[in-house]
Amino acid sequence: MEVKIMKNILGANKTLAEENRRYFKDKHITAVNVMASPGAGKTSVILKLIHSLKDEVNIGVIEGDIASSIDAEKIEKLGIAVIQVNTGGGCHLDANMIKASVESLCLKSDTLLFIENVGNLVCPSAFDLGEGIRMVVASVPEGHDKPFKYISMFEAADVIILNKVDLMPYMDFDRESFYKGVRALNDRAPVFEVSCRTGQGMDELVQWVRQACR
Amino acid sequence: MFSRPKLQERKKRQVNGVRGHTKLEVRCGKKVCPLTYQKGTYLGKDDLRKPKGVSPLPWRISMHEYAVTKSIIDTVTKEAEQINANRITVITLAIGDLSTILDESVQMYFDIISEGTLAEGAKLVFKRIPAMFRCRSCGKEFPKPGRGFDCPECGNLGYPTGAGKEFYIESIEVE
Repeated sequence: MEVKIMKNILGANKTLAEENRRYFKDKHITAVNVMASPGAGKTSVILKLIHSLKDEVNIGVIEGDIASSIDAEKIEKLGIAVIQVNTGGGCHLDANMIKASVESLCLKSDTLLFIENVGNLVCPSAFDLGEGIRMVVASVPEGHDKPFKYISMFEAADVIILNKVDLMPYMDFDRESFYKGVRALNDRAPVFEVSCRTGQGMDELVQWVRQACR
Repeated sequence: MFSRPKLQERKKRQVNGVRGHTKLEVRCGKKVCPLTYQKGTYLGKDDLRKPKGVSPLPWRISMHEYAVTKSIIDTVTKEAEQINANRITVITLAIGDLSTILDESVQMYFDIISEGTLAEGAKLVFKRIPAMFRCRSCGKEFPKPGRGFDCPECGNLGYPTGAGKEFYIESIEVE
């Protein structure tokens, strides 16, 4: 006997993500899911934004990593509430991990919550965490072809950051091709060209995040 | 200002009889909060040991297809139980090419995790759905080319139609 099911395979994750989303809305928490490949500059972007915004808004951070607490320790030094989630080989964070982490972070209302996902341009795009903003960080040394290869990641982004633009003169990065790929997939997300090392372009990004928190 | 929550105590016991759930408490300032977490989720670098009472699978490894396969088995066994089926013989999955899933990997996990469930021994059928794009100029629909997103008719840029993102259990066959 055949039985029609027609159920989303990640339905359980989606349900938990919606619970998180409601919780964030009720507590006025702006949750930013920061996704990128390893080494693109997720932590650097978060640290820069913390420096610029910590006097204006409560900030919390969930640090996702396969192992280690290197990034969490960097953030802890700034006196920011942080919790490390080690996935132990897992390639992405899921909504259940965020639920558990958020409960233990004891966040106040009106908080800007950065969720640093596992360095990976594939799997994190499939797992909704309940975030309000999906921030994708690309970087110049990775090359301009990333939007063409990681379609779901760039398509679903709410904001795209192109980091390490100070390296542009030394790389064969085809800016036009990068933007062509991004705009084919996503014509609404703003793209900010920044360098976390020199601070170039950060003011515009900080301004955008400030607006998004309101 | 916040203080960093510290893993305060590790209680190796099952919560609500659910395998793989471990109850922890974390201290945040003076407040002690309970923390429930599931297989594949753990917090803190000192917490890398396997808790008692979880399956012999590499429980820490919540690799993509493991999580996905677990979810498939949970869903279909629940459906089969509702109609009092004895066993599931076929599971048909609709998987778009943009959904980041490897069939072989799902199959491998399925063979292990389905043991002892109604889904044990079921045949997995993977219906693959190609990623489709639509041209922004001429409106033609075309499967994603190997390189880029350009329309094969007029050469202008296409955008994803949504086809290729499917990720659902279509049907099961039961006895």
